[in-house]
Amino acid sequence: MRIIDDYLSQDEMDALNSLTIEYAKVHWIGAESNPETNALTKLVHSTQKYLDTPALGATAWYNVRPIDPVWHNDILSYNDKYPINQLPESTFIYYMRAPDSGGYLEFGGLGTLEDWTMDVTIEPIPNRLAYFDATITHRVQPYKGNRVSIGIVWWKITPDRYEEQKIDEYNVLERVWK
Amino acid sequence: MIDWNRFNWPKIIGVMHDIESLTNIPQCRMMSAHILEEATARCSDGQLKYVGDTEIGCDFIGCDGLRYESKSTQGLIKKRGPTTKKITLKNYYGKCLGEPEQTFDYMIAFDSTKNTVILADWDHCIENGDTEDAKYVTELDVNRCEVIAKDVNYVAIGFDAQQKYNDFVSSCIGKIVDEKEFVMMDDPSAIIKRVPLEGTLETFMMVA
Repeated sequence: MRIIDDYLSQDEMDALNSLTIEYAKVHWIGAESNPETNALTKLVHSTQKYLDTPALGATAWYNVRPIDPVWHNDILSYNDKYPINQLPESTFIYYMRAPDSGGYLEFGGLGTLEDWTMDVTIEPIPNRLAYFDATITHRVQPYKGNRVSIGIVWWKITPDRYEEQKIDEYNVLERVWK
Repeated sequence: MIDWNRFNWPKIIGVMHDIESLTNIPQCRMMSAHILEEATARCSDGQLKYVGDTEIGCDFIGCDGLRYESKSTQGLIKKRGPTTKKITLKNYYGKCLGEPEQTFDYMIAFDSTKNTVILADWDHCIENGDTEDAKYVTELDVNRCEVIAKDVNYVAIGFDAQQKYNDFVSSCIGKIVDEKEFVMMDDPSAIIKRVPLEGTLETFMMVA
Protein backbone atom coordinates (compact mmCIF):
# COMPACT_ATOMS: atom_id res chain seq x y z
CA MET A 1 0.00 0.00 0.00
CA ARG A 2 1.28 3.44 -0.86
CA ILE A 3 -0.08 6.94 -0.32
CA ILE A 4 1.07 9.95 -2.32
CA ASP A 5 -0.20 13.36 -1.21
CA ASP A 6 -0.35 16.49 -3.37
CA TYR A 7 -0.39 14.17 -6.34
CA LEU A 8 -1.52 16.55 -9.10
CA SER A 9 -0.44 20.09 -9.83
CA GLN A 10 -2.96 22.89 -9.28
CA ASP A 11 -3.56 23.17 -13.02
CA GLU A 12 -4.18 19.46 -13.31
CA MET A 13 -6.58 19.55 -10.35
CA ASP A 14 -8.45 22.49 -11.86
CA ALA A 15 -8.72 20.68 -15.16
CA LEU A 16 -10.04 17.57 -13.42
CA ASN A 17 -12.53 19.59 -11.40
CA SER A 18 -13.90 21.43 -14.40
CA LEU A 19 -14.08 18.38 -16.62
CA THR A 20 -17.33 17.81 -18.51
CA ILE A 21 -17.73 14.07 -18.69
CA GLU A 22 -20.12 11.19 -18.07
CA TYR A 23 -19.72 10.83 -14.33
CA ALA A 24 -22.20 7.99 -13.95
CA LYS A 25 -20.28 5.69 -16.28
CA VAL A 26 -17.07 3.74 -16.39
CA HIS A 27 -14.23 5.05 -18.53
CA TRP A 28 -12.01 2.60 -20.36
CA ILE A 29 -8.57 4.06 -20.93
CA GLY A 30 -6.36 1.84 -23.06
CA ALA A 31 -2.72 1.67 -21.99
CA GLU A 32 -1.67 3.10 -25.36
CA SER A 33 -4.56 5.55 -25.78
CA ASN A 34 -3.93 9.27 -25.87
CA PRO A 35 -3.26 10.55 -22.32
CA GLU A 36 -4.14 14.06 -23.41
CA THR A 37 -7.76 13.19 -24.24
CA ASN A 38 -8.93 14.84 -21.04
CA ALA A 39 -7.87 15.45 -17.43
CA LEU A 40 -9.17 12.05 -16.33
CA THR A 41 -7.22 10.13 -18.96
CA LYS A 42 -4.14 12.12 -17.99
CA LEU A 43 -4.59 11.17 -14.33
CA VAL A 44 -5.17 7.53 -15.17
CA HIS A 45 -2.15 7.33 -17.48
CA SER A 46 0.00 8.91 -14.77
CA THR A 47 -0.64 5.92 -12.49
CA GLN A 48 0.68 3.48 -15.07
CA LYS A 49 4.22 4.04 -13.86
CA TYR A 50 3.37 2.30 -10.58
CA LEU A 51 2.67 -0.99 -12.35
CA ASP A 52 5.24 -3.77 -12.38
CA THR A 53 3.90 -5.46 -15.49
CA PRO A 54 2.27 -4.07 -18.65
CA ALA A 55 -1.50 -3.66 -18.76
CA LEU A 56 -4.10 -3.61 -21.53
CA GLY A 57 -5.97 -0.67 -20.12
CA ALA A 58 -7.68 0.77 -17.09
CA THR A 59 -11.21 1.26 -15.93
CA ALA A 60 -11.79 4.50 -14.07
CA TRP A 61 -14.96 5.45 -12.27
CA TYR A 62 -16.19 8.15 -9.95
CA ASN A 63 -17.38 7.33 -6.46
CA VAL A 64 -19.66 10.29 -5.83
CA ARG A 65 -21.08 10.19 -2.30
CA PRO A 66 -21.14 6.39 -2.10
CA ILE A 67 -24.40 5.63 -0.28
CA ASP A 68 -24.08 1.92 0.43
CA PRO A 69 -20.50 1.28 1.44
CA VAL A 70 -20.22 -2.50 1.62
CA TRP A 71 -17.19 -4.78 1.68
CA HIS A 72 -16.02 -5.40 -1.85
CA ASN A 73 -12.98 -5.71 -4.01
CA ASP A 74 -12.81 -4.11 -7.40
CA ILE A 75 -11.84 -7.24 -9.30
CA LEU A 76 -15.15 -8.90 -8.46
CA SER A 77 -17.03 -5.69 -9.17
CA TYR A 78 -16.02 -6.14 -12.80
CA ASN A 79 -15.77 -9.92 -13.08
CA ASP A 80 -17.86 -12.94 -12.17
CA LYS A 81 -14.68 -14.79 -11.25
CA TYR A 82 -11.09 -13.87 -10.53
CA PRO A 83 -9.08 -13.74 -13.77
CA ILE A 84 -6.48 -16.14 -12.38
CA ASN A 85 -2.96 -15.52 -13.77
CA GLN A 86 -4.21 -12.18 -15.13
CA LEU A 87 -5.01 -10.46 -11.85
CA PRO A 88 -4.67 -6.68 -11.83
CA GLU A 89 -1.99 -5.49 -9.48
CA SER A 90 -3.57 -2.58 -7.67
CA THR A 91 -6.64 -0.54 -7.01
CA PHE A 92 -5.81 3.16 -7.25
CA ILE A 93 -7.92 5.76 -5.48
CA TYR A 94 -7.61 9.45 -6.17
CA TYR A 95 -9.49 11.70 -3.75
CA MET A 96 -11.21 14.80 -5.11
CA ARG A 97 -13.51 15.81 -2.24
CA ALA A 98 -13.25 15.06 1.46
CA PRO A 99 -16.39 14.61 3.54
CA ASP A 100 -17.02 16.75 6.61
CA SER A 101 -16.21 13.78 8.81
CA GLY A 102 -15.50 10.04 8.51
CA GLY A 103 -15.31 8.33 5.13
CA TYR A 104 -11.98 6.59 5.73
CA LEU A 105 -11.25 3.61 3.55
CA GLU A 106 -10.88 0.48 5.66
CA PHE A 107 -9.71 -3.00 4.78
CA GLY A 108 -11.17 -6.25 6.05
CA GLY A 109 -14.21 -8.37 5.36
CA LEU A 110 -17.18 -10.27 6.67
CA GLY A 111 -16.52 -12.49 9.68
CA THR A 112 -18.55 -15.26 11.32
CA LEU A 113 -19.51 -13.23 14.36
CA GLU A 114 -18.29 -9.80 13.42
CA ASP A 115 -16.43 -8.21 10.54
CA TRP A 116 -12.66 -8.39 10.67
CA THR A 117 -10.59 -5.35 9.85
CA MET A 118 -6.97 -4.57 9.25
CA ASP A 119 -5.29 -2.02 11.46
CA VAL A 120 -4.90 0.47 8.66
CA THR A 121 -7.20 3.03 7.03
CA ILE A 122 -6.83 5.69 4.37
CA GLU A 123 -8.10 9.16 5.10
CA PRO A 124 -9.87 10.81 2.16
CA ILE A 125 -7.78 13.92 1.59
CA PRO A 126 -8.22 15.88 -1.65
CA ASN A 127 -5.39 15.42 -4.15
CA ARG A 128 -4.25 12.21 -2.46
CA LEU A 129 -3.48 9.14 -4.53
CA ALA A 130 -3.48 5.80 -2.75
CA TYR A 131 -3.00 2.35 -4.14
CA PHE A 132 -3.16 -1.12 -2.69
CA ASP A 133 -3.41 -4.76 -3.72
CA ALA A 134 -6.48 -5.09 -5.93
CA THR A 135 -7.55 -8.34 -4.24
CA ILE A 136 -7.95 -6.74 -0.82
CA THR A 137 -11.54 -6.29 0.32
CA HIS A 138 -12.33 -2.77 1.43
CA ARG A 139 -15.18 -0.41 2.20
CA VAL A 140 -15.85 3.22 3.04
CA GLN A 141 -16.59 4.00 6.68
CA PRO A 142 -19.71 6.07 7.45
CA TYR A 143 -19.27 9.77 6.81
CA LYS A 144 -21.05 13.11 6.59
CA GLY A 145 -20.78 15.52 3.69
CA ASN A 146 -19.58 15.12 0.14
CA ARG A 147 -17.02 12.47 -0.61
CA VAL A 148 -15.76 12.08 -4.17
CA SER A 149 -13.03 9.78 -5.33
CA ILE A 150 -11.90 8.22 -8.59
CA GLY A 151 -11.22 4.50 -8.63
CA ILE A 152 -8.74 3.14 -11.15
CA VAL A 153 -7.82 -0.45 -11.95
CA TRP A 154 -5.33 -1.43 -14.65
CA TRP A 155 -6.36 -4.70 -16.30
CA LYS A 156 -4.23 -7.23 -18.14
CA ILE A 157 -7.30 -8.50 -19.96
CA THR A 158 -10.73 -6.95 -20.45
CA PRO A 159 -12.96 -7.54 -17.41
CA ASP A 160 -15.60 -10.25 -17.93
CA ARG A 161 -18.57 -7.99 -18.05
CA TYR A 162 -17.42 -5.91 -20.98
CA GLU A 163 -16.87 -6.62 -24.61
CA GLU A 164 -13.22 -6.83 -25.63
CA GLN A 165 -11.56 -3.44 -25.10
CA LYS A 166 -8.54 -2.28 -27.06
CA ILE A 167 -5.17 -1.02 -25.85
CA ASP A 168 -5.33 2.18 -27.90
CA GLU A 169 -8.92 3.22 -27.26
CA TYR A 170 -10.80 5.41 -24.84
CA ASN A 171 -14.39 4.27 -24.34
CA VAL A 172 -17.25 5.17 -22.05
CA LEU A 173 -18.91 2.02 -20.71
CA GLU A 174 -21.93 1.17 -18.62
CA ARG A 175 -21.39 0.78 -14.90
CA VAL A 176 -21.76 -2.91 -14.18
CA TRP A 177 -22.30 -2.68 -10.45
CA LYS A 178 -24.35 -0.45 -8.16
CA MET B 1 -36.80 -32.92 -36.38
CA ILE B 2 -36.01 -29.32 -37.28
CA ASP B 3 -33.27 -28.89 -39.90
CA TRP B 4 -31.52 -25.72 -38.74
CA ASN B 5 -29.46 -25.58 -41.95
CA ARG B 6 -32.62 -24.76 -43.89
CA PHE B 7 -33.04 -21.46 -42.01
CA ASN B 8 -32.13 -18.23 -43.78
CA TRP B 9 -29.81 -17.12 -41.00
CA PRO B 10 -28.23 -14.20 -42.92
CA LYS B 11 -31.68 -12.65 -43.25
CA ILE B 12 -32.70 -13.37 -39.64
CA ILE B 13 -29.50 -11.94 -38.18
CA GLY B 14 -29.79 -9.01 -40.61
CA VAL B 15 -33.25 -8.21 -39.23
CA MET B 16 -31.86 -8.48 -35.71
CA HIS B 17 -29.29 -5.81 -36.52
CA ASP B 18 -31.73 -3.62 -38.41
CA ILE B 19 -33.96 -3.37 -35.33
CA GLU B 20 -31.13 -3.10 -32.80
CA SER B 21 -31.89 0.57 -32.15
CA LEU B 22 -35.36 -0.38 -30.92
CA THR B 23 -33.92 -2.46 -28.10
CA ASN B 24 -32.56 0.77 -26.61
CA ILE B 25 -36.09 2.14 -26.26
CA PRO B 26 -37.74 0.40 -23.28
CA GLN B 27 -41.26 0.58 -24.71
CA CYS B 28 -40.07 -0.97 -27.99
CA ARG B 29 -38.22 -3.98 -26.61
CA MET B 30 -41.21 -6.31 -26.86
CA MET B 31 -41.84 -5.09 -30.38
CA SER B 32 -38.25 -5.72 -31.45
CA ALA B 33 -38.44 -9.23 -29.95
CA HIS B 34 -41.67 -9.79 -31.86
CA ILE B 35 -40.09 -8.67 -35.14
CA LEU B 36 -37.14 -11.02 -34.67
CA GLU B 37 -39.47 -13.90 -33.84
CA GLU B 38 -41.65 -13.23 -36.90
CA ALA B 39 -38.52 -13.08 -39.04
CA THR B 40 -37.26 -16.35 -37.56
CA ALA B 41 -40.55 -18.11 -38.32
CA ARG B 42 -40.76 -16.73 -41.85
CA CYS B 43 -37.15 -17.65 -42.61
CA SER B 44 -37.46 -21.16 -41.19
CA ASP B 45 -38.40 -22.75 -44.51
CA GLY B 46 -41.81 -23.53 -43.06
CA GLN B 47 -40.45 -25.34 -40.00
CA LEU B 48 -41.50 -22.89 -37.26
CA LYS B 49 -44.84 -21.22 -36.71
CA TYR B 50 -44.94 -18.05 -34.63
CA VAL B 51 -47.35 -18.49 -31.70
CA GLY B 52 -46.04 -15.78 -29.35
CA ASP B 53 -49.25 -13.82 -29.87
CA THR B 54 -51.39 -16.59 -28.36
CA GLU B 55 -49.10 -18.67 -26.14
CA ILE B 56 -47.36 -17.67 -22.92
CA GLY B 57 -43.70 -18.55 -22.49
CA CYS B 58 -43.40 -20.06 -25.96
CA ASP B 59 -42.74 -18.25 -29.23
CA PHE B 60 -42.88 -21.02 -31.83
CA ILE B 61 -44.37 -24.41 -32.53
CA GLY B 62 -42.03 -26.51 -34.63
CA CYS B 63 -42.99 -28.89 -37.40
CA ASP B 64 -41.69 -31.55 -34.97
CA GLY B 65 -44.49 -30.61 -32.56
CA LEU B 66 -42.08 -29.18 -29.99
CA ARG B 67 -42.29 -25.74 -28.39
CA TYR B 68 -39.50 -23.20 -28.89
CA GLU B 69 -38.73 -20.00 -27.00
CA SER B 70 -36.57 -17.23 -28.47
CA LYS B 71 -34.17 -15.00 -26.53
CA SER B 72 -31.67 -12.52 -27.87
CA THR B 73 -29.04 -10.36 -26.26
CA GLN B 74 -25.76 -8.63 -26.98
CA GLY B 75 -22.68 -10.46 -25.76
CA LEU B 76 -24.65 -13.58 -24.81
CA ILE B 77 -21.63 -15.85 -25.16
CA LYS B 78 -18.93 -14.54 -22.86
CA LYS B 79 -15.33 -14.27 -23.95
CA ARG B 80 -14.21 -16.41 -21.07
CA GLY B 81 -15.86 -19.10 -19.04
CA PRO B 82 -18.22 -21.82 -20.15
CA THR B 83 -21.49 -20.05 -19.39
CA THR B 84 -23.56 -17.43 -21.17
CA LYS B 85 -24.70 -14.15 -19.73
CA LYS B 86 -27.79 -14.47 -17.57
CA ILE B 87 -31.01 -15.01 -19.48
CA THR B 88 -34.36 -14.24 -17.87
CA LEU B 89 -36.58 -17.29 -18.12
CA LYS B 90 -39.47 -15.78 -16.24
CA ASN B 91 -40.13 -12.33 -14.82
CA TYR B 92 -42.76 -12.51 -12.10
CA TYR B 93 -42.93 -8.71 -11.80
CA GLY B 94 -43.29 -9.11 -8.04
CA LYS B 95 -42.43 -11.91 -5.68
CA CYS B 96 -40.35 -14.52 -7.42
CA LEU B 97 -42.21 -17.81 -7.29
CA GLY B 98 -39.12 -19.86 -8.09
CA GLU B 99 -38.75 -22.43 -10.83
CA PRO B 100 -41.36 -21.71 -13.51
CA GLU B 101 -43.64 -24.29 -15.08
CA GLN B 102 -42.35 -25.72 -18.32
CA THR B 103 -43.65 -23.67 -21.23
CA PHE B 104 -41.15 -24.65 -23.94
CA ASP B 105 -39.00 -27.60 -24.95
CA TYR B 106 -36.05 -25.70 -26.45
CA MET B 107 -34.65 -22.21 -26.18
CA ILE B 108 -33.21 -20.55 -29.29
CA ALA B 109 -30.71 -17.99 -27.97
CA PHE B 110 -29.32 -15.29 -30.26
CA ASP B 111 -25.99 -13.59 -29.63
CA SER B 112 -26.16 -10.33 -31.57
CA THR B 113 -22.49 -9.61 -30.95
CA LYS B 114 -21.14 -12.88 -32.27
CA ASN B 115 -23.98 -13.34 -34.78
CA THR B 116 -24.33 -16.83 -33.43
CA VAL B 117 -27.38 -18.82 -32.38
CA ILE B 118 -27.40 -21.64 -29.84
CA LEU B 119 -30.03 -24.14 -28.78
CA ALA B 120 -30.64 -25.39 -25.24
CA ASP B 121 -33.27 -27.78 -23.96
CA TRP B 122 -35.60 -27.02 -21.06
CA ASP B 123 -33.81 -29.28 -18.58
CA HIS B 124 -30.54 -27.50 -19.27
CA CYS B 125 -32.20 -24.11 -18.72
CA ILE B 126 -33.68 -25.22 -15.42
CA GLU B 127 -30.61 -27.06 -14.13
CA ASN B 128 -28.60 -23.86 -14.47
CA GLY B 129 -31.44 -21.61 -13.28
CA ASP B 130 -31.75 -19.53 -10.15
CA THR B 131 -33.96 -16.86 -8.65
CA GLU B 132 -32.81 -13.26 -8.86
CA ASP B 133 -35.08 -10.63 -7.34
CA ALA B 134 -38.40 -10.96 -9.17
CA LYS B 135 -36.92 -13.06 -11.96
CA TYR B 136 -35.96 -16.64 -12.60
CA VAL B 137 -32.74 -16.56 -14.61
CA THR B 138 -30.43 -19.08 -16.18
CA GLU B 139 -26.87 -19.23 -17.45
CA LEU B 140 -26.42 -21.76 -20.22
CA ASP B 141 -23.37 -23.97 -20.42
CA VAL B 142 -22.23 -23.18 -23.96
CA ASN B 143 -20.51 -26.55 -24.28
CA ARG B 144 -23.82 -28.29 -23.72
CA CYS B 145 -25.69 -26.17 -26.28
CA GLU B 146 -26.07 -27.01 -29.94
CA VAL B 147 -24.65 -24.23 -32.09
CA ILE B 148 -27.24 -23.91 -34.87
CA ALA B 149 -25.73 -20.86 -36.61
CA LYS B 150 -22.23 -19.50 -36.14
CA ASP B 151 -20.56 -16.22 -37.12
CA VAL B 152 -23.30 -15.51 -39.63
CA ASN B 153 -22.50 -13.07 -42.41
CA TYR B 154 -25.77 -11.26 -42.26
CA VAL B 155 -27.74 -9.28 -44.81
CA ALA B 156 -29.30 -6.17 -43.32
CA ILE B 157 -31.63 -3.77 -45.10
CA GLY B 158 -30.01 -0.89 -43.26
CA PHE B 159 -33.05 1.19 -42.34
CA ASP B 160 -33.49 3.38 -39.26
CA ALA B 161 -35.90 1.37 -37.13
CA GLN B 162 -36.12 4.07 -34.49
CA GLN B 163 -37.18 6.61 -37.13
CA LYS B 164 -39.71 4.15 -38.52
CA TYR B 165 -41.17 3.73 -35.05
CA ASN B 166 -41.34 7.49 -34.51
CA ASP B 167 -43.03 7.90 -37.91
CA PHE B 168 -45.48 5.16 -36.99
CA VAL B 169 -46.37 6.88 -33.70
CA SER B 170 -46.82 10.20 -35.50
CA SER B 171 -48.99 8.62 -38.18
CA CYS B 172 -51.24 7.08 -35.51
CA ILE B 173 -51.76 10.48 -33.90
CA GLY B 174 -52.15 12.42 -37.13
CA LYS B 175 -51.83 16.16 -37.48
CA ILE B 176 -52.64 18.26 -34.42
CA VAL B 177 -53.93 21.74 -35.11
CA ASP B 178 -52.04 24.39 -33.14
CA GLU B 179 -49.72 21.88 -31.52
CA LYS B 180 -47.41 23.66 -29.08
CA GLU B 181 -43.90 22.86 -27.95
CA PHE B 182 -43.54 21.96 -24.25
CA VAL B 183 -42.28 24.86 -22.17
CA MET B 184 -41.43 24.52 -18.48
CA MET B 185 -42.88 27.23 -16.23
CA ASP B 186 -40.42 29.75 -14.86
CA ASP B 187 -41.24 28.66 -11.35
CA PRO B 188 -42.16 24.98 -11.46
CA SER B 189 -43.62 23.50 -8.30
CA ALA B 190 -41.41 20.44 -8.49
CA ILE B 191 -37.94 19.88 -9.81
CA ILE B 192 -37.46 16.66 -11.70
CA LYS B 193 -34.15 15.16 -10.73
CA ARG B 194 -32.35 13.68 -13.66
CA VAL B 195 -28.81 12.48 -13.82
CA PRO B 196 -27.38 14.18 -16.89
CA LEU B 197 -25.49 12.00 -19.29
CA GLU B 198 -22.70 14.46 -19.41
CA GLY B 199 -21.83 17.44 -17.26
CA THR B 200 -19.45 18.80 -14.70
CA LEU B 201 -18.79 17.16 -11.37
CA GLU B 202 -20.68 19.91 -9.58
CA THR B 203 -23.83 19.43 -11.67
CA PHE B 204 -23.53 15.68 -11.27
CA MET B 205 -23.26 16.04 -7.50
CA MET B 206 -26.39 18.18 -7.43
CA VAL B 207 -28.50 15.41 -8.91
CA ALA B 208 -26.69 12.20 -8.04
